[in-house]
Amino acid sequence: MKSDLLQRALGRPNREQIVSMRPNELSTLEAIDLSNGQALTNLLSAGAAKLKKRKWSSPEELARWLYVSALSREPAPAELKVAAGMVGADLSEQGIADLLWAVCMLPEFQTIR
Amino acid sequence: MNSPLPLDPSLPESLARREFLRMLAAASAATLSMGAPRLLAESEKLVQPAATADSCILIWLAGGMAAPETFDPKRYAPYEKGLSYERVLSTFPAISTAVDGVRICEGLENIAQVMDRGTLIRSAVQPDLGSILHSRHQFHWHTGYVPPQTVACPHIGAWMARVLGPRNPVMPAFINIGQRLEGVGESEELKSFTTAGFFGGEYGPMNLPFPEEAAAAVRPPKGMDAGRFINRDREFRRLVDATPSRNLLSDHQHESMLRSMDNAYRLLSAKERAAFDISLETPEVQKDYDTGRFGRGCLLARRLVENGARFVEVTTEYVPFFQWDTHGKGHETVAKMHAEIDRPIARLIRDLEQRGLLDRTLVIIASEFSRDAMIEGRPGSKAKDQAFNKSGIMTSPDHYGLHRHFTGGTSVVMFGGGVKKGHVYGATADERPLVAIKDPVSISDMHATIFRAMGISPKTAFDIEGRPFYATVDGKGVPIPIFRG
Repeated sequence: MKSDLLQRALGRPNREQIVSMRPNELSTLEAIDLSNGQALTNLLSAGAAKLKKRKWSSPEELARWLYVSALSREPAPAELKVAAGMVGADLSEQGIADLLWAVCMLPEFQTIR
Repeated sequence: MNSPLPLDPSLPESLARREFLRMLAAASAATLSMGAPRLLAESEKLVQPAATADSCILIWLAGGMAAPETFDPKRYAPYEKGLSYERVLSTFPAISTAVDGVRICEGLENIAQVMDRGTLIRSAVQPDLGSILHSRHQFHWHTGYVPPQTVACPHIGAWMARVLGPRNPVMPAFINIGQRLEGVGESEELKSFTTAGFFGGEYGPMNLPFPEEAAAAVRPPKGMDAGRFINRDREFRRLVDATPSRNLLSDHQHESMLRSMDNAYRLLSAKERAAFDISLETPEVQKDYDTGRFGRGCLLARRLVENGARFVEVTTEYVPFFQWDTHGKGHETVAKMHAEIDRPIARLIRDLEQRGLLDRTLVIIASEFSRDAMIEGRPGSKAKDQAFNKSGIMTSPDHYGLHRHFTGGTSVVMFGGGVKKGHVYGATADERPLVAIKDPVSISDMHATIFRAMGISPKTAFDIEGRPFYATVDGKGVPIPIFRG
């Protein structure tokens, strides 16, 4: 696994530095990388482009699929409303990319699953 | 689909594992961050010195800046074919400065004019001439500890970040400008001290190897306008609030992650992020600083300090056998280095002064060790050996320069931040060996001095692996008397 900026933002230690365990916590600098790093942005954009090509009957369907895939559970009604709103009725690539990012940044995704 | 949530509040006898762990964690997190090293109990009672500086800029001339070629000129002899190494102490003549009787080397005319704003320390010494390696001495200079160590030592910038915190909450407390950590020689060694060590990532450096690209590091991702970025963050928060399992997560982990996301968002959407964009300066200012990457780094450092940065390091960059690491063509190379540092450093000092920031900003010029023309440190050798080791004559201008590592006497300059103005501390001999003969300053004492300015006692300690780890080795560093008042 290459130690690129994204890997480091996800807590991969430098092999040159002594560690007995990986850090539990996300540092501010790592959060900056996760918020604006090019590597993650590109991955999410590519993912959004792929998802956009699939047939979805509604933004809710995409949101449900994402929650089951990422968190192994259905979204609660309040979550579904926000998530579908982000994707928008036109299922825009931007909206999908933003939802992918938001779900990946959920503490539930980062620390539990 | 089955409910993935094992917790059923209607079953009080089966306190779910997660709930149990959550409560357990919340109890310990109430007093300390889980796993984070704590300030040692005796340190809590320490009276920290009153700070004379709020910010610190370390100008790092990596690779071994020869003191006799910069701030401590000695006997000069111009190049001629057949010149003996023994006759050459400096390859640059001395020039006068704004301070009566204090001379530095030709090529540093702009810095000479601001020498009345600071203290010139000529007697810094490093240990162990017998095994002089850049990486070892750089590690020692930046952490205060001689490698290897059994715990990961924090960089002095991380000490400031840990003990003092950010000056402005949106600005990262420790910013490192100009050093690439990938794709250069000895990058593993560089990374080993460019770190917060056992303090943990939150106190580590924000690395900005290319000053002209710093603005991109704090911008929303490419192709995302501000409106979409703000909207994405707002919707993210709504999703977090709508998460039904929110109460099942460890409070500490959950909150610390959201806090970091918050901090990141705050910087990426704050007005202070303009500080990272040197292109916002007028063309005149940019041109004056722009002697290269280092000069642009000085301009970036000034903007960051103006906007509340705590510790900023700016380096000419360490790349083995380049820049100050002169093992050949020393004179020619150092002349180029003079040209690269002279204008931006002088301008930085003047700019800080003009903005009323110099009095509370400690600017340090330093390097891992000095150089000499005679001998290289080898296991078993001593600084004074250079007075006896015979060496040859120069047959080419490429031989003209100080091509050997030397740890017996090195110059460090400190401007602003409460240090005396137009002052010289310590001295080196005028003939070989050019060792410190008056008031030698060890790394521990140098760090104690820097920490003293920043309001950190050299005895400050953290508990790691069941033992205290001090800001200076064993808490024994003593500040040198270079402060005003």
